[in-house]
Amino acid sequence: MEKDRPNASPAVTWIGPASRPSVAIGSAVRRARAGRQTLAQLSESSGVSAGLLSLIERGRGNPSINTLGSIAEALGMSLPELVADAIDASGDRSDLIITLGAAADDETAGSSAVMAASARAGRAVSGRTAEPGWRTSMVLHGGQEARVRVLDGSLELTLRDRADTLPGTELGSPLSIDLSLRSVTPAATLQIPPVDDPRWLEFVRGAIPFEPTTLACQMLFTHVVRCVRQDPSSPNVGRWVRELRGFFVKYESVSAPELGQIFG
Amino acid sequence: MLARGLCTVESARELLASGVVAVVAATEELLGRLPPGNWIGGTMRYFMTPDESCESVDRVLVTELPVSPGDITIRSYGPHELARIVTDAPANGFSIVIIPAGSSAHLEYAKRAPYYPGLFRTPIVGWVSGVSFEELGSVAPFTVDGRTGRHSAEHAIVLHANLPAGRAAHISIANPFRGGVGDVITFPADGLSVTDCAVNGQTRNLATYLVESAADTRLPLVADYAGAQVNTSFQSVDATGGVVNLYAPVFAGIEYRIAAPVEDYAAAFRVAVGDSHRDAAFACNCILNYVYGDLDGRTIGHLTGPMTFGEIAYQLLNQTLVCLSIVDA
Repeated sequence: MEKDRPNASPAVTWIGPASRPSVAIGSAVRRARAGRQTLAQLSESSGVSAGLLSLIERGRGNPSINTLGSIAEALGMSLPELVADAIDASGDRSDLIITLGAAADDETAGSSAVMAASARAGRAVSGRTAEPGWRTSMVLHGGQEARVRVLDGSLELTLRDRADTLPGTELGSPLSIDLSLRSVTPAATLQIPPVDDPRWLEFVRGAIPFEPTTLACQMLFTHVVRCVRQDPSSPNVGRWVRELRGFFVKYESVSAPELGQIFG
Repeated sequence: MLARGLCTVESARELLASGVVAVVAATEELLGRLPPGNWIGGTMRYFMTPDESCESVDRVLVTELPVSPGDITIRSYGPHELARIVTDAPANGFSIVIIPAGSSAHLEYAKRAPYYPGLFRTPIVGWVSGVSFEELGSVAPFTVDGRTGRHSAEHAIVLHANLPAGRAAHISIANPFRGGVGDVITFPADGLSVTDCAVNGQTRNLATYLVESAADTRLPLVADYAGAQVNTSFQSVDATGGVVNLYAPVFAGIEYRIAAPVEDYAAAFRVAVGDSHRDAAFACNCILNYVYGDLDGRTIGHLTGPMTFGEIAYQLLNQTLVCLSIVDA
């Protein structure tokens, strides 16, 4: 029941290679296809043979990045989205976990790297193909988690004075790299909307999917939703919005995952 | 090393006289022999320890808290003052509450606590004091203010503790019960005494429903609070009068199910507790688990605390293990 505790300073831990990532990718393809396309239809629309598709779905294929990109496109997804689905569903957290202290800031430099990133809260997915020399940086706010999977090439990661190279996969080799960043930043970096923000109204009505992580938040949220449903008058709604907001203000530094679900 | 466990009254006297901050559970006779100090207490004779769960009338359960005397205040609250527990609580800290079973304060806290402004952002744990089963209805449970020695059968006693910056109170529960796959029961109003309910949307008398369905009322009603399983236990079922009394209130707008059977309470608690809560500052469990689970002489894990007539983790709970930990903020 304990929550993860951030380290005071950045720490890098090499966990080990992901377990059978090709299985996760295959499952993601199968889930995306199921009920929408037959194997033959996907073969036709992607240009990938049905035999290879079958192998990929069973986790036994060894597809190239280009092949996976074609499959993703035929499924109406981007390649990063497909990979992010695989990461999320596999429960395979990561190969490399970097826990950050107060200020989370990293720089990456790509070398023909294809990355898929998913933020846990709100499940935002992004991805891009980086050209050699491309550089970017990102800041993670409290409790946010970004996962980066390098599909091809390599990715140089710099965390303050610490540098690591994340080898991607060669074309045709199994996918293998996950990068997970977790951080807790000072509460001041988070913005909790004022009580008149309309998203509060949706929230207290139970209209926003919400999975609180602490007993206090679970109990409060349940009481708020039921009380608002029983008495949806403005004064009552306002009372419970203030109650919820007060909770998040007090526990702002550890409530980022919850806040991300509501306002992310 | 903090003192935590059953001890002789002599040992308890020595410890409490040294000025430690503590929560104490014992019979009324033993509580009356303890010296003034930085403690609160309540009548109780059923306990859980790492060695066994047991009944004892000649030992005292002392839970020393990891705070200094200068960081606490002890206050008593009558039934109409209970909302002040929240407002009196420190900005960063915790509050431990003991309430006499069957008192007006007990009933008031049970029904009203979830509506106290700020309750869920105020770490509050505690328990309901009780007496032996033979004494139920004839002897009143008590709470004790250790600083004054004042006993009360009507007042809640509360120890408010400040924590330093960088430390925070963390409340958790361990509940071996899960809502079964049976009927969904809802109630038209909050209450500790229930007549009508809806079973799968159909209006029924709850007592009649329980009798007709041969429900095992040793199993609690379980509600899913956004992932937390919250129990409400049956106290009595009067099929003739059509009234069901509960140990904690049901709330309108919450869906309940009767818990799935638990074969072995001790084993189920050991699984639910696991290896967590090693750093627990305070814990308590429920007398109903002790009785229904036939826990006397059995161990249910590594935690120490009273087996109470009601557990408090913010609001009143039943058949649940409650745990307070002090963690890095």
